[in-house]
Amino acid sequence: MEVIIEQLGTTNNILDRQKFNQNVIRIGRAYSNDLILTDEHVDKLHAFLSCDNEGRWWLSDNHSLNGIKKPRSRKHITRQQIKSGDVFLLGRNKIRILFGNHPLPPTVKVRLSEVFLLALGHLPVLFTLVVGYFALKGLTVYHTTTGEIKWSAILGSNLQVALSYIGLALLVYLLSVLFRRGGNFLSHIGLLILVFFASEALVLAVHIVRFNTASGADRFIAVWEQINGYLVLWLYFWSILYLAFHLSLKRRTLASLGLIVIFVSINLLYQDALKEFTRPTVDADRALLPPVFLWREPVPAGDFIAAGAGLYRQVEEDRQKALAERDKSNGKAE
Amino acid sequence: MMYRILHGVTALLFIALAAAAAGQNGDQNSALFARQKSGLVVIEVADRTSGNKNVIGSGFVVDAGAGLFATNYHVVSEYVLDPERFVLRFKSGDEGGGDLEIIALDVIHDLALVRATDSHALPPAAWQFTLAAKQPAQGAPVLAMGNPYDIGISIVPGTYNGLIEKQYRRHIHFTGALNPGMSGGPAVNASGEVIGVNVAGTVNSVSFLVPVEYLAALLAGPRDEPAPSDPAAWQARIVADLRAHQGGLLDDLMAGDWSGSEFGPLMIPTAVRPYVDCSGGTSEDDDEVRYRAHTSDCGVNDRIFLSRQLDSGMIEIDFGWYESDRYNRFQFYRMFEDIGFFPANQGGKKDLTRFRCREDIVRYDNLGDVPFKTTLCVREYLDYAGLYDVLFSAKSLLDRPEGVFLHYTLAGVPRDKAEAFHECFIGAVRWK
Repeated sequence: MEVIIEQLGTTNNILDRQKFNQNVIRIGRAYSNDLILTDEHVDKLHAFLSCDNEGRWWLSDNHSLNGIKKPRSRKHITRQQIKSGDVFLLGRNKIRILFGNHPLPPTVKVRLSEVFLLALGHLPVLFTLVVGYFALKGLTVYHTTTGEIKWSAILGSNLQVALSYIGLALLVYLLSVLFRRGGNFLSHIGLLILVFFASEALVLAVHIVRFNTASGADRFIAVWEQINGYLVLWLYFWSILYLAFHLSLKRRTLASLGLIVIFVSINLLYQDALKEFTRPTVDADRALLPPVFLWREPVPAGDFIAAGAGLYRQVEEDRQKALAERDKSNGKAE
Repeated sequence: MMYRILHGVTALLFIALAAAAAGQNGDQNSALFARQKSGLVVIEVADRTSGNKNVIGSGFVVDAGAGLFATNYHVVSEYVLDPERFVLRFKSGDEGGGDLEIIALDVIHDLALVRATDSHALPPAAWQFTLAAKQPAQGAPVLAMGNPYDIGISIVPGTYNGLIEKQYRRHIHFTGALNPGMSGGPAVNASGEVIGVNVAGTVNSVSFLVPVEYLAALLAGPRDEPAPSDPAAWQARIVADLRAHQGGLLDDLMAGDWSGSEFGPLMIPTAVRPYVDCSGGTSEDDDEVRYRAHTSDCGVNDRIFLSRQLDSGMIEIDFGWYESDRYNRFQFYRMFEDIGFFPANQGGKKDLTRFRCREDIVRYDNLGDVPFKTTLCVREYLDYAGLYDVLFSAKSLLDRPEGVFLHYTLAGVPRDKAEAFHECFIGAVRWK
């Protein structure tokens, strides 16, 4: 009867997989064994995997020094019947034992998103993205510089960004190889450029909306702006978990959301810590664009000033609050 | 040749005469100072717990019988606002001295009347200063007295240079070196009568005195003042004074000449009153800067001292016109967005609420079809209820790389006057 033994890494990633077609399989460090485990904690002949007359498989310890355990269990196993999919620890070596009829999840059709992500690494696509990246960078610099444009300075600063992109992609590639996953270095570069495009587009969208709205909507726009940042970050995590680590759709969605939650909480902590130091400044956002982007009717001056009456109400509320707070802290001091 | 020698002799003669006159002046000054020195005091605000001196200034006896001294508000302000934490006292001569209490304040003109709590603390023969009935002629000698840098009572000779024309709240221009610590001391004419109170000095001997008539008014004023150590009551009094003064200033401004002068594509108001100080111009041609900025910055730079962290009273009326033939519209508006504005006065979150702003795209009837990105910001003084700092800015949205910027800042004004001023300001701007 057929039996398959997988050697697993720390994250249960498969390091090696072998199929056997015999009734007794010898497992150990010695080269005479059927399954050779190269780990100093494993005995020369550590264990037997054997099939009895009724077709049941048994794993038995050969009086080894470190014995056999289940992961996360302290109990030593001397002999145990195998169910397909059981995982055991031999020394520090993790193995999974499966039978030929082990059930499989249904076949997944290649998703469009996955094709798209992988296509980012194709040379013509990547080349177009790189050209687009430099074109957009050049255009924004041209549009935002008030003084003389020094192309050498622009190239210098962008070279740094380009190098940091490549550095990040290399690091992820190395990690990916370490976990014996796909790598996809070029696709990662393409993905980074795409993420840059997405964030620029969202920034422009926010600016246009801000230009067109009265300050009553400030809070919503600020929230939207923050969400945009996280959205782009999530998109990046979600994609890279597929490209570099081949996580399944469910896993990469969960993992990327988890990462975002971590980022949001760190940011909130940071903002809370900064709150103490904020000074009373003029924080009108002042977004300005050519009138082509003006999509709404201007309000009559009278309406604007009438609405401005609310400001006096607001600052009086602020004042009462500040005075109450001051009384409270004075009370504490006394 | 002969002419040159004669010239030289005249010059020598002149120098000799001047030296003799100075010597005589010097003698007179010493005699005057010897007589009046006993009427000068050092005024200190000290921390009650540590005893450390926080503020040091000068003061002088205006009523020896009642133990009354005159000084600056900014010398005693910390005590006025927090009498539980600070103690106010005076020192006179080598040993004399004692605690003081507040009798009357004029925050607008930076004056305070204080009284010794123990009437015997004052030396029996203390000189009582008399107030001059009229200001001297320009060029008359003036002696300022005080305690510069707390090194001892000193006398500084200088020249009376008249009332400063370009001011709403009048000050005397005194040419002579006033140094920190002399604040609150008297400035006297040749006969020893007080013509002003030392208030501020700048570098190069340009110094300022509060004209004596404000002190006379304070002395003659009604004595219905709050209890000496009730900060809230004093603040209420200060609010009333500020409201009246700032309201009066805005009324006076609004009654000024708003007919306007040409400024690029606009007609704008500039020096609506003689005391409104204007500057501005056009940015220099610079190859590295791809736009030209024209500015007109007018203001009433009347800083009213409220505390060491807070001042008020300033008004700014600014216009900008920006144009570029080297920018496209995107670039222009990117630059235009960064043109900013700031409050004119100082103050932190202990003294002021944060600015609340309203921003919108606004159409002004007198400015045609051009929409303006408009911002109005307001903040209130925590301890002076009903006084606000108001900022206004409007940037034109023209369909070409050109823009005008309208801006005003009002510090420490009541709401109704601020709103009236707004109408006056907007009404005075129009396209040419």
